[in-house]
Amino acid sequence: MSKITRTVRCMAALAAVALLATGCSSGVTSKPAVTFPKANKSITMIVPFAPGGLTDISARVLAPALADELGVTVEVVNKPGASSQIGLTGLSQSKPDGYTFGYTLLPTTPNAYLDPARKAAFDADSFIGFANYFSTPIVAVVNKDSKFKTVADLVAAAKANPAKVSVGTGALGGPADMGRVLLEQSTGIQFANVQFDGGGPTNVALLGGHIDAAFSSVPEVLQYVKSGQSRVLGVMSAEEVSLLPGAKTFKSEGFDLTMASTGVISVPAGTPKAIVERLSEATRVAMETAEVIKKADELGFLLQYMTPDEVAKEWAASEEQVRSIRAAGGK
Amino acid sequence: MSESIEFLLQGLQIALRPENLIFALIGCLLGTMVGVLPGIGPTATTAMLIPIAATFNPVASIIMLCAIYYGAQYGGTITSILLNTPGEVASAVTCLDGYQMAKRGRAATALAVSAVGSFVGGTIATFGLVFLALPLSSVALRFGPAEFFALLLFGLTLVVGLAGKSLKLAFISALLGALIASVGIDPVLGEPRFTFGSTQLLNGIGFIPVLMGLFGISEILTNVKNPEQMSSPLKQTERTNWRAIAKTGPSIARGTGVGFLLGLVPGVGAAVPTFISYGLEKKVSKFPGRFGSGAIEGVAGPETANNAYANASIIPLFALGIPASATLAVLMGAFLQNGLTPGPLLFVEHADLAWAIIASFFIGNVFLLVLNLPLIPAWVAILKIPYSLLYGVILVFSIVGAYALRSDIFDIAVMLAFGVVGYWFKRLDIPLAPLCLTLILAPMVEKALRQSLSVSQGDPSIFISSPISIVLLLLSGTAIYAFVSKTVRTEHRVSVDE
Amino acid sequence: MNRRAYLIAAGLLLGLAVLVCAQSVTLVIWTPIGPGPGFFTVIMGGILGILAVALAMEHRKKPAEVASAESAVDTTPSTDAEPASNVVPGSDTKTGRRLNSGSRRVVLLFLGLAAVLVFFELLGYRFTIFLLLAYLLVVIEKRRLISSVAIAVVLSAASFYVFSDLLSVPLPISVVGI
Repeated sequence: MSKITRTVRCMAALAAVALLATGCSSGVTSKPAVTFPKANKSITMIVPFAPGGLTDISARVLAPALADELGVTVEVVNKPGASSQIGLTGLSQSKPDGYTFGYTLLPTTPNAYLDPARKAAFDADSFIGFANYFSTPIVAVVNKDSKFKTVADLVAAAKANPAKVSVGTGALGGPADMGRVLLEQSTGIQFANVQFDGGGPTNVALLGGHIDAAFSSVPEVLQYVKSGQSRVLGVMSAEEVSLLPGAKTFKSEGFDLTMASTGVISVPAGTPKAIVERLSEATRVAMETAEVIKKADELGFLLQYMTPDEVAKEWAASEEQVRSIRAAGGK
Repeated sequence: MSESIEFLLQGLQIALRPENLIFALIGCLLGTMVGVLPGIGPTATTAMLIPIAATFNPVASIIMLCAIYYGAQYGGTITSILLNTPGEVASAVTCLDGYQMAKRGRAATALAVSAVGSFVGGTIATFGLVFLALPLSSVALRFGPAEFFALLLFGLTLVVGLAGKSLKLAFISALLGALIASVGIDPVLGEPRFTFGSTQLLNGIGFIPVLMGLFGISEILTNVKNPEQMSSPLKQTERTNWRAIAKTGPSIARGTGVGFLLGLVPGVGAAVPTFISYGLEKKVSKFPGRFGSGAIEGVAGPETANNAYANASIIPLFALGIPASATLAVLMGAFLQNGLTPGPLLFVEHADLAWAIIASFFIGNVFLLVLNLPLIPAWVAILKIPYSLLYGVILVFSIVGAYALRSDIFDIAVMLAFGVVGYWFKRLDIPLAPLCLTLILAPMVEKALRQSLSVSQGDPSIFISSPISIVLLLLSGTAIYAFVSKTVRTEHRVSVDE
Repeated sequence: MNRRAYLIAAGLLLGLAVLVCAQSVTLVIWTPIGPGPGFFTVIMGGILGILAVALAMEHRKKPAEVASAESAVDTTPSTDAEPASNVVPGSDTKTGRRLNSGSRRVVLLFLGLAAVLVFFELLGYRFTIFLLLAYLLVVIEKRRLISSVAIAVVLSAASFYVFSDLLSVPLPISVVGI
């Protein structure tokens, strides 16, 4: 036993000497913390959604590029459930040392903590968004055999049969869900809403004909549209998306609605500023690599980097939007 | 069909190239190793290896990653049989009879029948992939929430078949499993259940720590209490009894069927086929009482089922681009990274590569068989280590395994707590199998039920609106009825005797 | 002895059942479109309570009556093979005294494992596992001190190397940084 205590004391002494030697830098200097990330440690990227969906795929595209830039392994960990609430809770509880970060998508995240029934263990102050990765508009899709041809068709059917037209959306309070709510509120209709654990299972259910329509995002539906298994009714963006040729915007049909999933990546609150900036810079560089650009284009998401300050603004705006939707009676 | 064979042969040529062969071998080795280590699953390993693999040629890297996926099913068996510690959720069932076989000196036979069954199941499932991929994948799509519910309900009715001596105790076990699984955030409404404000509990209680505790830790606690009975039987392991293995043919056949069919349904998970196979074997057996004390069919069936499942579950990924589980999603990421998009376009745009990968599954299964069979004496030799040393090592592995899941001490605590629970279960003769079954199935059943009702907005007729769900519901009803009438008859006989 | 164990278990289960039901009613039981989060749990809690009571009733009888009733019900062996010593008649009297050597070892083992929870992230993996193994070998298994410590050192260091360095499993290091 004394051997151990002696070893511990030696180590402690060595560590103290090392600390003194490197100077007591508390991260206030503008130079990024040079000891982050340490060579042997690996980084965990939490994806609060089921495998196969947009965020999961996008994370697996970014992770290797980030790993290259930071020099350590970046491991993607799925923590799905309760529309990202489980993963977000886990993220907010993680050590704010920069070795764990994850997706805090907008508007999914504000929806989680602004809804009192969900008793979220976190709020906007639990996270520091260090970068934005992508922005993808929401699309309304149907099975190739569906009788709906346009968004107007869908709305008409819902008007005629309130709460009968089944619409699948991914995460509760996620962008697809909000897209559906926006459409419902602006036209005064009501769908039969079915919650799935993310875009993956939603599209599967649509292909199997178990739901009438689905709100999903561009990357999640891309391969099914390309192969002809499903069809786009409309895209909730300002302009047409090049990856979905021929797909009309909601606006062009008279429904002036836009909704997108904004891929903000955050660390838990309390992470030192220097690490936040290092991560942000690393993300920016990773997003500019040829590999990521190519994959993003193939998969269908728009790269849109934002600095931590820009992220904060975007977050506040999203919170506003969610609040106004909730106030108007939607969930 | 002959077209498929042509393509397959072409693919085989590519798969037999030295580089691809080596990667298949590495994948099998890694997969087995990863499966052996409790808690460290193929998902994390595959994910970690994708960037490394991306530097090699696409076919080779995907071959390797797939080999890890189905190879892990072979490895998980070893710790279940030898140490009663399931490395994966799917291996839990093997503990029930596999470990009992080991305790009775039949470890070598248990390991051998697992290897053989796994090979058969995996190979036949791959044939299914070759010839039936496209037509069968549409089966996968017919399973919506309502059909899923009916399927899982049918799986639950097997709980009653796992009852054993006391029905009360079996039901208590089953209820506890379902209650444990309900801790956490409600999957449909997002309401926290039984979390008592603890953020750890919000994540729910993980399956793997629970199973490792119930089986592995409780076994250690029991053995520490009674060290005498850890001596002789384990040291004298008889040689592999090939004749007994040959007699398990029907079980292997049934296991292949169960695993393959369930592999086509996305989202089922690897554990469900093993439970269903176990329940099935017990039901059709002439001596159901042997189950739980080392019935070889209880090992042959589930082990075949889980490999058939692993290979078959790749079908929805290939044919439709639908990943059925986390590991498959990682695999899908690997495909994407390498420029191959799984789905109907895969066979159109990259047919040669796709067939090469499929051909490699056959090769991989052969590798695994060849790797695992000769190693059996080596694995069995582990049992010769004095238990007083061995259990320390098992504990270390278990602790690492539990911690490795989420880097959370909570999981170790859960494992420990359930070790105590399992210890008491054993002393009180409460069966573990029902708890494991409901632990996994009950939350899936609940989610499927409520999703279905979301689609139909409360209209229960959705459950009888498709042939698949009607058939499954009828089967469930029949199973329950058969069981109830058998119980009533037995009780009647009891009261008559008294 | 077993009878007492069953009664205690029944009591615990009943308590659990009450807790489950109490918590369930604070949740949404029924939504417009079907069962809510609390629905199944309250039912399960109720059934569990009933079964717990039935279990207690079953074991209220004196052992002689229970034995004759049970032998008529089912002659198949139990689903979980019991350790051999439990089947041996008379073993119950041997374990009748509390804290005999077997039970003592189990309790010690449990305490050791509980200690791991406390120290794991404080002392780091290597030290904690070293301590655990040394404790097991020396205190519980009563092996020789020097060989035990040696084995503990080797195993804790080797396993750390294999898991943390070779397999990149994140294992904790102590607060002093090793």
